[in-house]
Amino acid sequence: MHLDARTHAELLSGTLGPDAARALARHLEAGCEACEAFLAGCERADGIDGRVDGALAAVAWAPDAERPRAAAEAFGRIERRLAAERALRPGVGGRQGRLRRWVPLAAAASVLAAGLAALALRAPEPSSSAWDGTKGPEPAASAAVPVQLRFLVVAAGGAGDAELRRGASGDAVPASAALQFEVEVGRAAFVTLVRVPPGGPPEPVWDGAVGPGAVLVTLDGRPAIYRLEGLGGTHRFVALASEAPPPPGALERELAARRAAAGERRPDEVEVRIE
Amino acid sequence: MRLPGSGARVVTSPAVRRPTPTTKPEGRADGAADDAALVLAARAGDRAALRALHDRHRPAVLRVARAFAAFDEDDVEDVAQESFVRAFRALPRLAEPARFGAWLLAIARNRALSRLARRRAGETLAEELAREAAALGAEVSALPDGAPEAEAALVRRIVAELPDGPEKETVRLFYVEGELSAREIASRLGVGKSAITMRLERFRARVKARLLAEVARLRGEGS
Repeated sequence: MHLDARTHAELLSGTLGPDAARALARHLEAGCEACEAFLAGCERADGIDGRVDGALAAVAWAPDAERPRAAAEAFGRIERRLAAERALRPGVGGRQGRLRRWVPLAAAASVLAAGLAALALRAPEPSSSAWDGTKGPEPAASAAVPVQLRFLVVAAGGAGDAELRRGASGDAVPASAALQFEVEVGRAAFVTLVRVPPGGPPEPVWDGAVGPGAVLVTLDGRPAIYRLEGLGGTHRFVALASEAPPPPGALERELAARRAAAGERRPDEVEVRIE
Repeated sequence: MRLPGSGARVVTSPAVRRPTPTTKPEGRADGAADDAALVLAARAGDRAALRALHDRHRPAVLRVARAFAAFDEDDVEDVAQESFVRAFRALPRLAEPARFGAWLLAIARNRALSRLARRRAGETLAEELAREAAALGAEVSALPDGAPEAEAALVRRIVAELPDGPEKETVRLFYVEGELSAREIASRLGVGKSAITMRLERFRARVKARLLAEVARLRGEGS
C-alpha cells in the first residue's frame, strides 16, 4: 500500500484503521521511493512536518551562534508587527468625541513607537532634512511658530498583519489603515492638528504642547495612531503652531486664509486620499 | 563519533554543543515542558517568555527556510518573521503548548512553501497556505506523542545509511554540519540551486516517511 493524499490525511487524523496502519508502518519502515516521492511533492506542511524539521535540526553539530543583536533586532521587528496589528484591530480605544479615532499604543507596544520614530528619522523628506524653521512658505500670521507635519501609514497587510511605511502628501491610503503623525517645531509651541474633510467643516483632532524638534503625536503620554476607518475621499491634515493656545476663532481664520491660497504646498499640512 | 564514509562528526548529545538554556533546540527531552511553560507565560503577557520562545526556536526556523536554495538571506529573514508573527498571533488558540516547536516549524515550512508558490504560480496556493495556523494546530494535536531523542537518533541513522555520493555530501553539509544555507552549498559544490533543494527535500521526505511509519505503528497498536 502506497501513501496517497487520502491515506496520508487519515493517518495524521487518526482515522486510518488499525490493520491499514500496521500495514502502512511496515511498508514505510522498509523504505519506499514512491511514498517518499509523494511526500517530497506535498505542497503544504502537515502536522508532522514540524517534528521532522525538529529532528533534523537536532542533529546539526554547528553551534546556533548568531549575533545576539541579530536575534534581538528580529524579535523587535516581530513585536512591532504584532503591536501594529493590535492597534489596528477594530474596537480598540472606545474614546468619545474628537479623540475617538486615536489609539494610544499600549505600553507593550512602545516598541512600535520606537520603530515608527526610527522609520521617520531614517527617511526624512528631502525638503525637511535639518529643518530649522526658515525653509518653505512663510507661516501665516496666526501660526507664530513654524511647524512641519509628517506621517507614517500603518496599513493592514495580508492575513491581518500590519505594514509600516512612510507617507507622502497626496498618497492613497486604505480606510483600514491608521496614520502616525510627527510634528517638528523650531521652538517650544502649542500645536493643533486639524483634519479638513472633503466638503465638511474642519475638525481639530489633537492639540498639545511640544518641545523643539521632531516629536510623535501622543495621547495620554503615549504615541498614538489615528484610525481612518469610515472616512473616504481626500482629507487634509493641518498642523498649526503658536506660542500659546490659539484664541477662539483663530483656527477658523487661519484655515480660511489657507483656502484663499489653495494649491500652495505647505510643510505644515498633508493630504491623504482615503480609499 | 564519525559517520561511516562521510568524515562528518556527529555529536550524540545536543546538550554538549548547546549549553545555553535559552537556545535549547526543539527535540531536547525537557524542551517540550519548557515550551509549555513559556507559552503559558507568554499568553499571560510575559514579554520575556515571548522573547525566550523566539530565541530558542529561531535557529531551527532559519534552517527550515535556508533549505530552499531559491531564498537569499532577506527571504530567509522574511520567512522567519512571518512564521513568528503568525505563531505568536495564534498562540492563544494553540491547544497543546508543549508542541509549540513542532507547530512553529510546520508554520515556517508553510511560509517558505507559500513564498515559493507566490513566485511560481500566483496567489491562489499562497492564500490557501496562509490559513495554516489553526489547521496545523489541530493536526499537531492529533498526532501521538513523539520521542524527540529517538527521532533525532533516527535521523542520524538515516544519514549514516546513505551511500556515499552527492546526496550524502549535501545532507552532511546542510543538516549535519549545519553552517551553510542551501544556496551556499550550491555555490560550494558548483551545482544548480534547484538540484541542492531537490536533494535536501528527497532526504527530508525519507526522514518524514520513517517518522510517519512510527506514527502508523502507534496507530496500529492503539486498536
